[in-house]
Amino acid sequence: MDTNDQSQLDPRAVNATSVNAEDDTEESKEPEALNITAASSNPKMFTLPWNQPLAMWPDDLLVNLPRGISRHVVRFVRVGDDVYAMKEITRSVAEREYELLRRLRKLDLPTVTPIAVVTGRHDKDGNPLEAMLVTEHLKYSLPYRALFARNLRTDTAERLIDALAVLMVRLHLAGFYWGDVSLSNVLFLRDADAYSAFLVDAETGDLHANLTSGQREYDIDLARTNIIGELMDLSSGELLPSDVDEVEVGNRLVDRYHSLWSALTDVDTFNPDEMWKIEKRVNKLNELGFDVDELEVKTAADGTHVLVRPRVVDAGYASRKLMRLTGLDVQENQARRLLNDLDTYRASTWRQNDDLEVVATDWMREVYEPTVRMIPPEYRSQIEPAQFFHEVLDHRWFLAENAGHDIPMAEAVQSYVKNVLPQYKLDKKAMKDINADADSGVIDDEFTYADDSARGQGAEGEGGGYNPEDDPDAAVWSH
Amino acid sequence: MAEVVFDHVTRIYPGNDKPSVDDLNLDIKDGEFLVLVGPSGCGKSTTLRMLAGLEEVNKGRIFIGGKDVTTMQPKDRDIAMVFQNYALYPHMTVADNMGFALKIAGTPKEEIRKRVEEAAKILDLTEFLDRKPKALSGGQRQRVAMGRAIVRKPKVFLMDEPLSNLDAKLRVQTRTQIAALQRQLGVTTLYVTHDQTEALTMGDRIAVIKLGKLQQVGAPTELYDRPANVFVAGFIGSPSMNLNTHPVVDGKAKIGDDTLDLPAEAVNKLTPEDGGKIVVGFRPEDGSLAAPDEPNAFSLKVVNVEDLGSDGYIYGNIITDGSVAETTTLMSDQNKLTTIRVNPRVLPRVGEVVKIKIDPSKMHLFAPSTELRLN
Repeated sequence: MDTNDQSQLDPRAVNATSVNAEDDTEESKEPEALNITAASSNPKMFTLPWNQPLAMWPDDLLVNLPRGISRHVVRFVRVGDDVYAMKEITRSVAEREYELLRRLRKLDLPTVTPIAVVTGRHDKDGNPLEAMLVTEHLKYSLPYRALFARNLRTDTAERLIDALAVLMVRLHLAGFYWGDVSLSNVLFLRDADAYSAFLVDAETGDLHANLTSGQREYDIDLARTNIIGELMDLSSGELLPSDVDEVEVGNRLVDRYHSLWSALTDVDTFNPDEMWKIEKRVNKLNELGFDVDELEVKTAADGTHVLVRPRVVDAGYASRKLMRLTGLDVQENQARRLLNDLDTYRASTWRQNDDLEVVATDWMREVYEPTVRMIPPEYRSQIEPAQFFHEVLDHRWFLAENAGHDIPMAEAVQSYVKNVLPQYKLDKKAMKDINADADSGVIDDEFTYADDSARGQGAEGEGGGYNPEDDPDAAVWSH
Repeated sequence: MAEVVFDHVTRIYPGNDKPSVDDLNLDIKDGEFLVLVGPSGCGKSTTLRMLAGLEEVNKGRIFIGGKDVTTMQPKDRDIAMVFQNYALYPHMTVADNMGFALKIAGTPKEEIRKRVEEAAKILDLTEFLDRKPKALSGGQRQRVAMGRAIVRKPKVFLMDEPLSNLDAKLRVQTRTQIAALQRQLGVTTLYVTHDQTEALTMGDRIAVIKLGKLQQVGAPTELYDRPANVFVAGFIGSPSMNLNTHPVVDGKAKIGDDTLDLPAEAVNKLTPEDGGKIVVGFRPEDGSLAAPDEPNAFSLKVVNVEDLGSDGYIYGNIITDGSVAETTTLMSDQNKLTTIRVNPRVLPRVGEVVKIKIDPSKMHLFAPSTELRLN
């Protein structure tokens, strides 16, 4: 961890963890015996086959969830009631990433939650194995490739980009330089009609007190290049709707980022008799999903203008409000939708004069909970209750428009479960393809690319199979 | 082609009083592979990031190919951060994986194909150009990633600990590949590492940095044979140099009951600040066993021995007379024991006291007060 400007960091980040990543030197050798530093007390962690390479772990431990493209071996593992993502990497990188993720979580940033660093692994013959970084699987989340495999909507790419822009701005405001922004390094959660993005890979990142414009510009430029590359790849695999222009989508990220950044950080100049514009600015930020914690208002040197700039902004305006009223912890756009429904409920029950808190309790009991209880058990791990509620509302509106009259909620739920929800299931072949794609980027694991079943078939045809005998890498460099 | 110049460059992080990089003057010649090496927190990564445009420069200027880039945005500097980002795209061919960034930049198709083919030839990937990554071995996949940086033909490659996320086996293999590749391409390269072995094996020249200050710049053998100060002496080389402080009596180093001849020109450079002492350094391979009565040798109590077949190592404590002046101050913190490399057939037993002599032409002498080289 780069600690050059640590004295300026948020104290929550400084005190986030006992792990302090060190360079791999003579004095900081890998521990001789298995060592697990964990932020969880799940005792099942100790019963896992740490003495085997991750690629060889038995299937009955693994959970078949879609994985993103990675340079390293990654698997989802069931540990008691939890599902953890395990990544096999070198000790110094594992410790560094664990440390960074702990810090980012303490700053309430949208990242996966780190669970443990496992070092000192050895196989049965005593040969050292790479360390592992363990993170919690983000429930209901999907890598971008899984979203495209379902091919739900043509504007999916744009909606993912919008979510990524929000994530980048939030990370940058907190002083996190990413160093490797891409769709592959993010997980997406459905958030009403949009998506929320979560950082999953912090290998190249650094936390600073403030970022320089060079750091931000580098992240943006790299994000653009990577996104275009990732979309070109989907296009080569015929997974992208043909009318999507990859470069345009990449440019959209740059535009989105800049407009959000300037909305959050620019200085506005008003005349002293235009103070209502301050409220307008705050409302605009609320609409973008941000709360203004501190506002700097000062008079310009000539005394004729007022300068206004948000100093501290927090994302999650609507979700915090919903949390206060109902205790529900949901994504921002879902919260907005639920709050709207709550308002509708309040109006339709003539209770505008009642306390919103009281109305919210009744709405939970009478509307929200009966609806989400109807999620069929086999979908409970696939769709968030709040997302289900949102989609049922949409579906209800759609049914009502077709029928020309209002549709009861119970009927809308039934129709939604029967006609729409099945699209959520990722079929077996799509899942297999996604995970084979994910493995084809691994560079540091012989068990991955020595597996002939995953190779030699398909487009490459004959001669495409890899034979280690034909790969005299060493000879290549000797000439 | 481009030369890189750091001209009196300083970086002070907000809230710190000490600079993280202090008045750095460094030239990387056109086509040169320069390795910046130092312990954690020494400012090496900050230096690389200033060149990349990721960190602000508080004082001084940075030039690439004669052009002042001090305040230029990263993407306008024509540099490539190698290995920071090299996810392979499963549905794209090797050729497309290597050339897609050029396509984004609007490079004409023929030019992309030409550059990709050139790079593939260097990387020995020509026959795989139309295949997909899944048909490749791990090593080939890595080379595709290198290809992505090569086809851009940047003026400068920047590599910040590029091997840190590879396991030990791949690390050695990739180390050789990067060095060979850089020589073939002749692209000016700044490579940052904490690992002195990487530095010694890869760099045309090595720059050693500590606490933001440049210690020495030179070819690997120069740094190994003539370290400019105690820090470089202890940092470069593995096993590290033996470094001990001894009193100087009558122009000789006094080690317990023994004395060691010192060159007069070195002793003459000592000042009153040195308190009548000198730092004597020698590499494990420059010490050898001496006869019991041989002059110019000192006594070593053997603590441990290692027989590696081709080499033998003796680890021990130098026997001093216990006086305060001579409670051997170990300047090298890497290895608390004195290490001698000998013929494994003549290894002494643990607990034995042996005489050790030092090849006088391979002795490294430093002033205790300044830690600078005297001979």
